[in-house]
Amino acid sequence: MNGNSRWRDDAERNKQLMLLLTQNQRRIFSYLYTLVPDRHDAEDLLQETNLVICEKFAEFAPGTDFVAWACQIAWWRVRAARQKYARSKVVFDDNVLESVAHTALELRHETDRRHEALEQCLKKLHARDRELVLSRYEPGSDVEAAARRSGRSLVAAYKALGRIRKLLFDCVGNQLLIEATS
Amino acid sequence: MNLTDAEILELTELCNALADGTLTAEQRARLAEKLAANEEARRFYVRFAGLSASLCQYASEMQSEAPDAARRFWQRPVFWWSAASFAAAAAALAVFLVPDFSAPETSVAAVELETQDYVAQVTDLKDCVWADPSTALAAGAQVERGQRLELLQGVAEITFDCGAQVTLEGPATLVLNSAWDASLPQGTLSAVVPHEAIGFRVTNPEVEVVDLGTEFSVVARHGSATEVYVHKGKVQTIPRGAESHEQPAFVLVADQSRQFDRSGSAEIKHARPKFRELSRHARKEQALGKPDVSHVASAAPAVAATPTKPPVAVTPVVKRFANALKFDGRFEKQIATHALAHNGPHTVAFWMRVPSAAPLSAAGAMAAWSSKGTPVHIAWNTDPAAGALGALRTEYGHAAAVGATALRDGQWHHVAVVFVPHGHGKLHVKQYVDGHLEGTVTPALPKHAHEKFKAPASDTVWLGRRLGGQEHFHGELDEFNITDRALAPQQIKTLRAGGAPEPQAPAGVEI
Repeated sequence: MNGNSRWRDDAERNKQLMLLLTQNQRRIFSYLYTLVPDRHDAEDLLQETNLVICEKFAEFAPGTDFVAWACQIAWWRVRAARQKYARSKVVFDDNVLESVAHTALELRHETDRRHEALEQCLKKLHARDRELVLSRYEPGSDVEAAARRSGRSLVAAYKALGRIRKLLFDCVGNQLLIEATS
Repeated sequence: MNLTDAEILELTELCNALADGTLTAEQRARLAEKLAANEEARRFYVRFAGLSASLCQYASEMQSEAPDAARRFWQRPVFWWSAASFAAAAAALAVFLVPDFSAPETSVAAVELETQDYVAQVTDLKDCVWADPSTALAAGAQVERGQRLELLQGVAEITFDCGAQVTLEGPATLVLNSAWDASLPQGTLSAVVPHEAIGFRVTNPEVEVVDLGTEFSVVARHGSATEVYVHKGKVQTIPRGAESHEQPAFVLVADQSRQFDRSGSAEIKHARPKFRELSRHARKEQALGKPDVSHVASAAPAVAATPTKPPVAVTPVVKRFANALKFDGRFEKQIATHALAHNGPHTVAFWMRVPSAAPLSAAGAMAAWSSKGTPVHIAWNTDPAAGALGALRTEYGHAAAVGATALRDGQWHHVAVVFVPHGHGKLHVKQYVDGHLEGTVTPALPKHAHEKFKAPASDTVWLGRRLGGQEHFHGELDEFNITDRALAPQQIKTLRAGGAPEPQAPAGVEI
């Protein structure tokens, strides 16, 4: 292989890597968030996972399931960070974590559909509720900040968020049901 | 093994506490125990955590486009992390993979366009006496967002644009907050909520009732507890009375009832007689004393339409869509009718199918006409800045309502667009896709004919092309129907099912 063709191969491979990473960031983040349900921790792990994916991309077999492969890498990043997070955010012990990881991988296609359905369900929310829930999940925000911005007391904000999540959860379930039966 | 209601409630509470960072050590142990023991619990947890992950992503997208306050929240970039960012970040991948959303803080509420629009319609009345006779509502009257209805006596049926039907019994006060939400400070209300309107909500200072697909009644009295009765399906009730006494939400199922006041909530004892009374009330035909209340009297005079065919009741279709009109970009169809050349209320409905691979250039317009010189187009959206690509888009002059369901999927979809003149020189346009309310807009009605627009004859409806342009529609249309009234959601549902919106459809056009 001469220098030019090798360069072309590398460029093509990098292009493929960028494409797959771009298309699947949301899915890998969702998987990580399920194992480490804290936005900042999940984002840290996502960065680490992305770096490992870049390093190991030569091992990825084109045409196979990239998300499944990337989630395996993400899983090992969670395991590697276990000591760090065991003292803070990771909620579950190894056995439970492994079971949850297995279920999350199994449900990854459904999770995709749920993400799309959520968009419809957010539209159905009352504007005031939508404002509260989205401001709660903005980067750098928390329940207290969302409560302040919406003019609610902290207790009322907790109650409202619980209600809104339940509403969205049910709505998404119903949307999927409709899609499945139509 | 399916989860029981009690298990679902407990898991919901635990997952909520986890999402909000308030999970106690005890709750953490309990959640771990449930997840270790039960695959269904793990699936519930993964779905719930996935919801939070998705909300993180939607909120990030929202924040990243906050400076453009006029855009609606679902008009979002395709990727959370853009491909452009990736290309630029090739050398420093790790830094770019988590986006920097340093956009100025803007309230999400700011992107909701505030318009005075209609959110419901009075669909039946019996012996009604209104507190203010000068604003008494007649059957067929449209009700505005924020309007307060004070009924001294009698029974009124209100159909919300989302499809929820509410029977209000005086004395009662009802405030219509939106097409999905009402407040009941006092009085008795029974709601029948179809599948399309799940999420409909009734609130008052004591309780918030969120429908989960059901029939229910709410009884609110001044100085007394508010009572909730569920006749069918289930509702979620959230106590609102006393913030200092945090109360859990309750899911009530059929034949369950609960009362809510400032101090909390409790089951209602000896509720059976009240259930019987309210069940009769919920069955609106008895409350209203009519065998059938699907009739909607139009407040506006009937329009003298010139249909291409005389209005006929729709006969059962043996093989639906077998005779659909197929548009391949080379031809169009004209329908001669006066039904749309005016600013009165009317509804345009049809079935449509667009190939999943249809290019943007093949959008054209499914239906187009001129309304007193203003061009009106019903098409699918090709402007990503205006909303989801492929979603239903109704243009009235320069204003447009854009839905959310992507119609380019090779499947048949039922589309209904309702045009209702507003009392303030405006027109309220509501879109329904497969019976579900999707997108509204309230443009000003033209005072004069649109001079620049070379409109074709006002009595022509074009199928398959835009007015004044060459863009043609690629796809199929069937069961095109024009009705000279603002159809209620239930009537649209009937039409979708293949029936006529009411027994004698006046001045309608069908193809």
